[in-house]
Amino acid sequence: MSTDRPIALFQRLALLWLLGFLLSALPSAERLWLSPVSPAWLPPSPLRHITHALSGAVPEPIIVVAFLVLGAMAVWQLFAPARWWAWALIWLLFLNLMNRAWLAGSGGQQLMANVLFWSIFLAMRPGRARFLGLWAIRLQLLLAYAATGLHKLTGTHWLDGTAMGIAATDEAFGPAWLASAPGLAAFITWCVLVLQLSLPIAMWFRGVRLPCMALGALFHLATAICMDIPEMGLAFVACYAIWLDDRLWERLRGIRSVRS
Amino acid sequence: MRRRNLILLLALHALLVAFYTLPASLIPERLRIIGQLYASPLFHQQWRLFAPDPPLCSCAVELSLGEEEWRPLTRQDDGYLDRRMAQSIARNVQRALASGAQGPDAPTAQAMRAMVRDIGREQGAIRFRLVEHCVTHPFRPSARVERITPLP
Repeated sequence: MSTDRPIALFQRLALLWLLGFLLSALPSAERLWLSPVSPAWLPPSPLRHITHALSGAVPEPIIVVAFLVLGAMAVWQLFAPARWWAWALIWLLFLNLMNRAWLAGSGGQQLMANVLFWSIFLAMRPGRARFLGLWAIRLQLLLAYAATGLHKLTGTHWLDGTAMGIAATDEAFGPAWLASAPGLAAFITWCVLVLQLSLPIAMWFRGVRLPCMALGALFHLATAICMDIPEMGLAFVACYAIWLDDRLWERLRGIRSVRS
Repeated sequence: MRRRNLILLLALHALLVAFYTLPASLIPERLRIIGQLYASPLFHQQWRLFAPDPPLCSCAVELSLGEEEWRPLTRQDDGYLDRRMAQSIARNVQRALASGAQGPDAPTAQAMRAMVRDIGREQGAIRFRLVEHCVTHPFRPSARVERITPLP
């Protein structure tokens, strides 16, 4: 089953996410990157010279150049044929800017950093490299759901149905009105748990993949709007494209043409 | 490289990252360390937002200049990433206080001051406090108790 068109769609969505993130971060650039609020932190690994090269005292012009090059490469790759070295540069610059502003980090940014790494292989010509990139990104997406679902199973409030009510009444998140409907809050809590635990299994079955993606997209858009984590929800939705193949692509086009 | 070898490589990668990200209670200590050595910092990720449980106490660091009223670290027109940084700082302060410390550790205190760098430059002395609203009963999450801790 060919995956060329879904891969191209995924690459475009990942770049659009990246450009959207950079634009949305621009008003906070001073606190994020220029005079960072996040304390300099280096992991105890020799790879820190690659992943945290922009952490600590780095002259402001270097940060500005890194930001501009990242944006320019993303715009170029949006329209030009994929080049592996361009994706390598995009990954490297995004990862380093993300690590410089780690206090503002999120699972969505981490997901994208991982996905951008494997996108380097997607942009390579040999079929084997593309195979590696494709499946690494697919597995990464499923792993994220499985990990968060299993973490929730080790707690108390996701199982007793009170988790969404508690999260929604936290001033940092919302929507607080959800607590006034405890039945609905409990229902949503269990739906989230079921979605996160079943999606890593259901995505392997082509017949239910599109409905799963639709439910997942609904969930992520709701968290993006209501819970002040917009880039996280949109990162997951962008990554769904990697689980399409040409047959599903045609089905999607069919649904669109019937609607229009 | 043969396709079979590629599949083995992918499986190994997924397994090692899983050792790093899955709950510690499910992964033997030795495998978790191996996962950590492999995945950090190149494939770092953590999936614990609201997990294993959402925090029972919301928290925010507030500041005051002299006798002025207390206000949040972020302004009304600040973006979601500014709010995220302020929230991360408040969580770090909350963790430090919960562990018995008198105040935030040095890097967090530095981050707290960096959030209000411009005000500090103009006004001099700034006071900080941590404001928490804690759930008393998980089935009535709206009824929260306020707890205020002045920060040194």
